[in-house]
Amino acid sequence: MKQLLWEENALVQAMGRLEEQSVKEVVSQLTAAGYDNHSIFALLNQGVDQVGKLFESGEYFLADLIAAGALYSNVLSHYDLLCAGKQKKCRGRVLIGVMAHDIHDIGKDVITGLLRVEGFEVIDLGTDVCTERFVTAALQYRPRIIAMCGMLSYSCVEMQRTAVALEKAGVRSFAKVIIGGGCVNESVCESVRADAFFCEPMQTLEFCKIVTAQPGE
Amino acid sequence: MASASLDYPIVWIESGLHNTPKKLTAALQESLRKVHCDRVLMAMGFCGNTVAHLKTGNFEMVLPRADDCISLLMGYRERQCAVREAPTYFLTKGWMDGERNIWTEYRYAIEKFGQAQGQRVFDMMFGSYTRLGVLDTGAYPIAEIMPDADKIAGALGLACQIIRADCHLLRQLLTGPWPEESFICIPQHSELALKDLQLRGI
Repeated sequence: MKQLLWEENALVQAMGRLEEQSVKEVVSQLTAAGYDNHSIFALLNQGVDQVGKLFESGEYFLADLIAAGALYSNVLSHYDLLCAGKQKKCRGRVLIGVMAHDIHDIGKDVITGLLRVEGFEVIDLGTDVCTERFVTAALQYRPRIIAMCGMLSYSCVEMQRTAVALEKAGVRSFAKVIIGGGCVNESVCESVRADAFFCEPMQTLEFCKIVTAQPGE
Repeated sequence: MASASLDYPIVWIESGLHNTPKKLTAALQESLRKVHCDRVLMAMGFCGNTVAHLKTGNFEMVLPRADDCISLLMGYRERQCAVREAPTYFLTKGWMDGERNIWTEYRYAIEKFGQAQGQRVFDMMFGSYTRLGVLDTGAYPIAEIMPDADKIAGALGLACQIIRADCHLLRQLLTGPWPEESFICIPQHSELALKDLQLRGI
């Protein structure tokens, strides 16, 4: 594993300890030192991994996971401000939402923040989004990617239902459908007939970059 | 089980494992590996699909079609009706008695992050809910837990309401029969596939 510099390690540790002020300070230092967003996000994600491990070991509570999600989103906004003025290439449009009857939005917010920082235009439909709203918005905004998010078991059912409706509406001829969140895995991806599934924000981002780097409709 | 005059052996699974789905799946499979009986009745829901890919041995396995334990206690349709009425966070006495209950979470957050930030964290967790639904399953005197439920609801800014949960699915799991509409029956030496985890009547 690559040896981390002191500042890099400080960022990972501060994120792991959920120290917002320290995280923002080190992000500012690293940005000023010329670190690109990919390197900074990779360090933040190492810190998030620490939070996850501390939660699994019982040291951290659910509140810490929520705080980590909020901190991550705040840091993305902070980073966006640091980079204000830099010309950002518009990579393409992503439609995102949490499935009907599901109101778990922290993962969605993290992905939304990450995509916006990277220059994507994100249409965020929010939580408890029914099939009809996904289809209507997809036809209205014609995104390159539709991201369906869910935490609860029945979100998988909604994902299946929505994917079928998107197909019937002809949306899949111009948009990739991806799924993410606590309820998804390879089998769910297969049953939904999604183009991909993700449990990691950076993987989602990379996929969106690859899709939008190709010519659209 | 007492009300149905049943005396089945029970294998308890640590509820805290819900926080670590892979460990929950592993713990369930390990418990199934150790059982010696003809049939295992799984008194749990799909729990984020953690039951997917569980394998049976020399026994049949019966699983109720419930996405989680709330639906197991009150029924999936009833739960959906309640949620449509008001976005509801559900509680039972068991969940309030647990070591990591919502009140200990709240106290932890306030202590760790301070009143303002801790409250903000909880607003994020509960911002989409408007009601704390205390399930009256008949398994405990509901009046005894209402003072604590009121205290929690007050701190979280939610309306507090008792909601009847008749446990019909749980009762039927214990007594049978297990119609396909409400239960998944996995034969011996088989695997519970993800595609089997379909809720009905949605």
